[in-house]
Amino acid sequence: MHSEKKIIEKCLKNDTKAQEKLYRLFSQKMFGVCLRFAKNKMEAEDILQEGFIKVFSFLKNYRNEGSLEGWIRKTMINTAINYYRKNARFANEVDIDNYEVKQNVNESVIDRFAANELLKIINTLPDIYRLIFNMSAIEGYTHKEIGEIFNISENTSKSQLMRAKSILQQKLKEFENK
Amino acid sequence: MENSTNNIDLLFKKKFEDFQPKPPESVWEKIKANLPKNPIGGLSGSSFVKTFVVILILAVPAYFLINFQEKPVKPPINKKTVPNTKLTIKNTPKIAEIEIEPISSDVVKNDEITPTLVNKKIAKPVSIKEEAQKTQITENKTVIVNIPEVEEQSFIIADNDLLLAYLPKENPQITTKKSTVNFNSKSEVTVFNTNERKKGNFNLGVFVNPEMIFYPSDDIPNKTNLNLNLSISYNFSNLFFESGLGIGLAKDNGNFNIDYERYEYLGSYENVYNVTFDSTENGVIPTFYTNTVDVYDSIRHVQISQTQNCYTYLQIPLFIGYKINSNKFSYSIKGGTSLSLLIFEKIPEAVLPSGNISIINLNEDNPGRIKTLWHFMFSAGIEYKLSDRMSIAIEPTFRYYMKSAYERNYFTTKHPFSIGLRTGVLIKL
Repeated sequence: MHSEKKIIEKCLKNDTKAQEKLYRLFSQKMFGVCLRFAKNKMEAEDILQEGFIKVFSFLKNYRNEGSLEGWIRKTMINTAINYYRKNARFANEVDIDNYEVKQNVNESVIDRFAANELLKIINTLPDIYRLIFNMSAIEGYTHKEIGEIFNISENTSKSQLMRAKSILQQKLKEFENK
Repeated sequence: MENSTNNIDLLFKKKFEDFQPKPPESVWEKIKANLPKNPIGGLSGSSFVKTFVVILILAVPAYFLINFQEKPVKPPINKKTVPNTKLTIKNTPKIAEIEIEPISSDVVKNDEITPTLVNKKIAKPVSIKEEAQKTQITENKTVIVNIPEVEEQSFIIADNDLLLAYLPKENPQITTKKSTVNFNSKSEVTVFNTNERKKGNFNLGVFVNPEMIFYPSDDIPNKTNLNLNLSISYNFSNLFFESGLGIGLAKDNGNFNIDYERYEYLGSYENVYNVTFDSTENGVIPTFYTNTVDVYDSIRHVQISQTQNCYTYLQIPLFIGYKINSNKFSYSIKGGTSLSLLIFEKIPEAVLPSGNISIINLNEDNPGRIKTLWHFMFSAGIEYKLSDRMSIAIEPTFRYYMKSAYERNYFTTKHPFSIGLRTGVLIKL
């Protein structure tokens, strides 16, 4: 923790070595996040690059209030959202209850997949489904927060998530049957 | 479908908890190229060591040159026969003009001026009485010193090693101009020649050098630099070595692409909230009740904010040159290397649009500069002597960059070059 503080101080002085240290410390975790939000590896690299430039540019705004990792992760997610929001189109709201019923996935099925394979399935989702699934299901954003970010209602957010889950479920079954 | 669960969220979350793939190395390279460069306080360890080594390399020869300069040159003591002489000192305030003429043609037996004749360094000025003094220097040598119209005269004190005067047999009458005569308490006479020149000398210079930098492979306007130098040169015969310190000032245009949304008023429309129909003789007439509704929406904008970035370099040159002196003018050519270290940069923040905006993306598009630069520099100059110690100089310069001042992703020119005009004042130390 102490060394993390030192690294931040040096990064604020634009010390390249400290910046590289910070990058090495978090790049792998963040690349994992970027890969989930991105459509493919190339776009994930772009997001990671843009995200870290923002991290170093706005590090002075980090107030030591939360963990540094959390702050960097949030920056990455925001970068990913900005990357795709231009083209994001929201489908019509659906009856959420209908989807809730269908969401039974066998745990052992998921266990059979490696993270890389699951990633491939997530990557096939349309942009907005992928974003909302990642934000809600994995990152723990509430539908209210998602609604504020995308300027949509909570219900719309919920219905997008349901659609995303439904597609994922379908794809998992397809994989399972192969 | 045993162990069924509807918690697909948790299953995925669990699976990705330890998912930490390694990104390609090129990502960091791209990030590094886009990061702001560190000012002097953030010099990395290796840069600091490099700087230290360069300063050391320059300092060591400079130290020896200075010591060489300060150490008095020991002229050979002339071991010639000194005849009996008459010394006449013409009155000058500090430096006496001495005329030495023989009293007789007898040659003293002592074959040389013995070391005992030579004064050690005298701590205080010595007075000379008005009347002529007859002084016995050695058993066989007499020197008569006439100092007309001088009541009291101080003389420059010199080191005994600088004894230069001698009285050759072949030339019994010698006038030694700008010489100093020193008398000790025993009225011994020592003659020093202060006109003796040291072989090398130092020049201190202050220069201004505006330059135009050319990037032949890039379709950009030529850039200008302003350099201010404090130089010190050591002249040795026609050769000279020059070093010093300088400050280079450079500017770049920087751009920020601001992608933002602003909640803006788009217009208004009349909203019909009620309609009533009245039956009249002419038929049914509808009455529309309306209100005006303002329409606002988030409008996306992209704006480019232009800034001017300022960079300051510390320059350490090391040149060798050749100079030809003729009366008032001197002509020189020189060449060498110069090290530039980026010590300060000022990159202004982007000017954000006014109003209630939400930034979607802020991309900095500033050309990145590298911290350490080496150049080759050549120049040909003319000096004009204003006085014995001061001269002015003008030198057209050519500088060839060993690598571009910019990160390679901004400019394709590998070796820019610059042409400048260096002007300044030189003072002989």
